[in-house]
Amino acid sequence: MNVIISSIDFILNWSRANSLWPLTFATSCCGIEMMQTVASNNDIARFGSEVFRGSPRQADLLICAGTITHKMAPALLRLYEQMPEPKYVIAMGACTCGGGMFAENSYSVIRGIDKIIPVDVYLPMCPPKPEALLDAIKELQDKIKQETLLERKVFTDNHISGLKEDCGMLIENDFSITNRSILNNKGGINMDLEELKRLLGNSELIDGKVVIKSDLAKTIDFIKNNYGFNILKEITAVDTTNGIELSYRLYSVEDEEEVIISIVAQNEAESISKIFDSAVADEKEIFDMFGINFI
Amino acid sequence: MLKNIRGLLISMFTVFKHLFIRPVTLEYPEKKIVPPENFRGKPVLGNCIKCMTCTRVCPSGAINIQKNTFNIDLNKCIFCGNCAYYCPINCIKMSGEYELASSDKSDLNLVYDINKTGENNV
Amino acid sequence: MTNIETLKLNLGPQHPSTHGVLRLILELEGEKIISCKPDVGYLHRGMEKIAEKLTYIQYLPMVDRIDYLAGFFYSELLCENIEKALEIELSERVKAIRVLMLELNRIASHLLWIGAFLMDLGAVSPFFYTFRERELVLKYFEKVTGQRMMNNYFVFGGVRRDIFDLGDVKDFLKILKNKIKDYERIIDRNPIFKQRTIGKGILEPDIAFNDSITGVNLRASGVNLDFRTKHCLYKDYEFNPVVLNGKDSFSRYRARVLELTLSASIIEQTIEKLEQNGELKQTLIKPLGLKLPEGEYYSEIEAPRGLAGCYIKSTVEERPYRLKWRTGSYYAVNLLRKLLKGVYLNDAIAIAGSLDIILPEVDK
Repeated sequence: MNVIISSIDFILNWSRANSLWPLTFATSCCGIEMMQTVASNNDIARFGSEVFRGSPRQADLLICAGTITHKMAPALLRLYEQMPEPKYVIAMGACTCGGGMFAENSYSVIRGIDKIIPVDVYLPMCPPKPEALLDAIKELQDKIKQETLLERKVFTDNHISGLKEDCGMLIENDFSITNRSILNNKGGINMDLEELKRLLGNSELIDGKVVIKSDLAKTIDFIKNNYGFNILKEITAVDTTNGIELSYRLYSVEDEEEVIISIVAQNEAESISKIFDSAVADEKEIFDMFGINFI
Repeated sequence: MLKNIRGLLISMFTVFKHLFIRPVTLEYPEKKIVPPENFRGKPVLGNCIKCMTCTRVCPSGAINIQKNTFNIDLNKCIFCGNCAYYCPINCIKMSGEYELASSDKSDLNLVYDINKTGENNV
Repeated sequence: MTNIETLKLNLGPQHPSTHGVLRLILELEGEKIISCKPDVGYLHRGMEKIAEKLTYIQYLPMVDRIDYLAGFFYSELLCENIEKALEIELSERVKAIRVLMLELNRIASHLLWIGAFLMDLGAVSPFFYTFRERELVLKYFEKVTGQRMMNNYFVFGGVRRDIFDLGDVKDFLKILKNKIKDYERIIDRNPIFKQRTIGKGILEPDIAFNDSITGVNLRASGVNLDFRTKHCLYKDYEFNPVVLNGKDSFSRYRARVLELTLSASIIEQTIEKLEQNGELKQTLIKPLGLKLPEGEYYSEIEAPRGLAGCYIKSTVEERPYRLKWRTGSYYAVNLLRKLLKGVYLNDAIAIAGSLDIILPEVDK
């Protein structure tokens, strides 16, 4: 009896070990090294793993290449659960082993994917060399060849996932959430040049900051239309003692000049997404990070 | 139409030429690659004087120095080489070892005995 | 016929062609996309908040991860800010070394993009060719800096060690010039590639300005805006930015291929400089107790994916009070809402890929 079981184990393990089809799952830096491993110089095909599958249902091996954040974790667990048995996991890179450089200070990174899914081989370094990934695959193959089917079952059963209940449908998230109140804005922006000139005072448009107190949208629209500052480089928010200071960095392509308009906001600020479409992205970020409501 | 066919033929010919060039694939597991001299691989410890500079320049808090042990956690280490670069007596060295894959997580925790010198991996 | 049912399609966050973890929520009417909502944040690691908890020396190795394909640019930004604050003058040789590394990194980044973009469109061979050449750059990086991608080579006031083996770079440039011709033969004349890119994803300059698009994407729309021309490192170099008028995916591809040649010509100039003056002079600062004078500092550079900027506000402490990154990809993702409207689903990947989006830059 033992002879039969061990020979079945041997044949199954031999066939499993030599055709590990990985899933294309790359979240960040290590994914690039994974691509490099597939490319001609390291040629992962020599180990029978060149068939990268886009769908988890056709894959045996999950090479988790890159940081997993709290938002990504349900997706990772879902991918793992969609993979058919037998399935193996390589944690590639320090971030997936134990959080890496985000282990101490970051608020949004999972400290090691072994909290979510069972991991067979850990591969530290940030990022590992392609050769190191090949070494990890060899290590995994050795492991598969040695273990019995029963041991495998015990290994997967013993793992308790910490995230199972959260893994429903991914949450619907609207990128343009800050747009919701723009539509309620009364009318368009009325240009009153004389008044705006008075608003800006005597401050000339030179390299430096123009600090204003109110009428943000009017001022920026005025500057855009009259001085040709047509690119909004970015909006920077800084938490100061007076409130949140918003700095709008405008750039003129023709004159190659830059101007910074800054305003101190408490809880609300005027949205300029009607003037610059890219402001939607920045305003959304500031809403998320600082809680400023753009109306 | 003819132009398109010509374009395709030219590109196929260019790809076909690659049959005759030397392959670039490295024979990795058979021939081990010796990494360059400056390569930042697994950190190894020499004579430590416990000045704690390395813990203060480490970005990820991977280094933990106790009374008798010097602990580098590879779960956190990002191999930036800050500790080796700023060490006043150059006792931490980034070796050329890069094959660190392991199926046991406890292998990733490097513990060195601080009182021993040289290659003293415990 | 007034009530047409629409289909919501979820693209990502794990999709091989989104170059990371971008999630696009597409609303389809038949095969036409009627709206596109990008959902970002799957790789948000809190890079800006971490900076407030670490000293400048500790934070320097981390910034490479903001854009793993062009880490040197972000190191350069942080170093530049701190050198500005402490009023450190860089010697000519350090400047030349930095330009050499930056441009090599730009080549590596563009090469990867060409391979990945072509793979999105279904062509696999260019992926192997471009990665083969990219490996040469990475090997040189590994030799000089110690690691392939996360180099941590620039330090405040200089570089970690002097440069050597410039012959490798010369050999690489020779190989690259031949290979660029090969790419042009394989890719540029391919009728399938042309059909899928010419006239697709048209980005008018007005829209690009309005959406803060910079870098190659803007230059492929016929606007001559290259922040390298004003940057202090590039003062002594002669080059003309690549400006194309096509406005479509194809000209964005062409612009990147032409930028390879441009970067190669800049590297040739740096090699000349590096071979002239021999000694490396740099004023390095002590690792511990580095404090910046109070104030706000801003530096910017033309990264492969558009303008990159770094804002630091310092109250006199070892840590920055606030640090913010300006990255190019974030605005490109925002632009997808406009570019993908009204196109067919099979063009969506081609257009999104042509903008060269990279997700850690978006999410930070």
